[in-house]
Amino acid sequence: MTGWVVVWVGYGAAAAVWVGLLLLTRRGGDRR
Amino acid sequence: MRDSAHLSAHLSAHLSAHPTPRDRRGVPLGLLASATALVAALLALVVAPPDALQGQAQRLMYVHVPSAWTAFLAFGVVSVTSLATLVTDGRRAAAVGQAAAELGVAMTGLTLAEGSMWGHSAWGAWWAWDPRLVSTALLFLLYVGYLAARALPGDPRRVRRRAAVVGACAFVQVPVVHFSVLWWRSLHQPPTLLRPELSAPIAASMLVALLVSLLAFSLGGLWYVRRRSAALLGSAAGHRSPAAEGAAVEAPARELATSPVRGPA
Repeated sequence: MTGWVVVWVGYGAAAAVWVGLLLLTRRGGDRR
Repeated sequence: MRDSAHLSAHLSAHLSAHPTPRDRRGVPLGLLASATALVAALLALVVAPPDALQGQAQRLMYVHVPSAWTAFLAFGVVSVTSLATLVTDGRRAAAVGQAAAELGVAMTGLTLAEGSMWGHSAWGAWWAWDPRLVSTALLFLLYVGYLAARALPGDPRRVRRRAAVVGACAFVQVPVVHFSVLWWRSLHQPPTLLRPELSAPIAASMLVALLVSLLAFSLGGLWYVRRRSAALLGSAAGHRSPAAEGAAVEAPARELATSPVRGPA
């Protein structure tokens, strides 16, 4: 992977992580 | 009476798991973080020039560095809330610590992934047994361990305290990661911003893009910890949300009053 490909994959991964965190805030769970 | 108290607690817990007016408190901060992220992406992908040696792939820096920074901030919060949990045994401190640890683990994972891609592009290797890379992987595992300790079954108070011991001790690894590039010979470059010289060897447009990206990630992290810890506290009430707490407190009193065994003679 070189050039812009690696950049878009990297930014896509970051966006996916933040969307995952957003979804986690909508969930409670049995926590103490 | 007891059934109605249980029903009330159950309904409150159920309602607290869905968006309520209270949940909208984090919206302005979330919008601010999103707007900052948009500006950061424009600066990083359009305004900042490609690196003279590494070309376009160097733009990964605007995600790699902020995710590492946010992880460090998050682990700082975990250490403070862990100490607070050990001193006061607060449920709130433990919830904030858990939310911050989740953020930190996600950001460390992202740092490792971005670093791996950047490493493949710049060094020709996805991974190297290098002090910075290995210490960061260890940091990731330490806080996965903290989250595992938080998820253990058992008495909630003991679970909180045990996890807090892990959370307080794990922070030792953060300076090890930061200084690893200075203490040992490393493939990884030394710090760009947090250097002893306090002068960043970086072009102005790159520096601005990096600083705005750092701000966007920090705001996003703050938004996540606030919102997630509120959700955790709401669901821990699961059995004790603010509304249900009253019902839960009343229930034993009613039970005591009506029970032929434990009631007053």
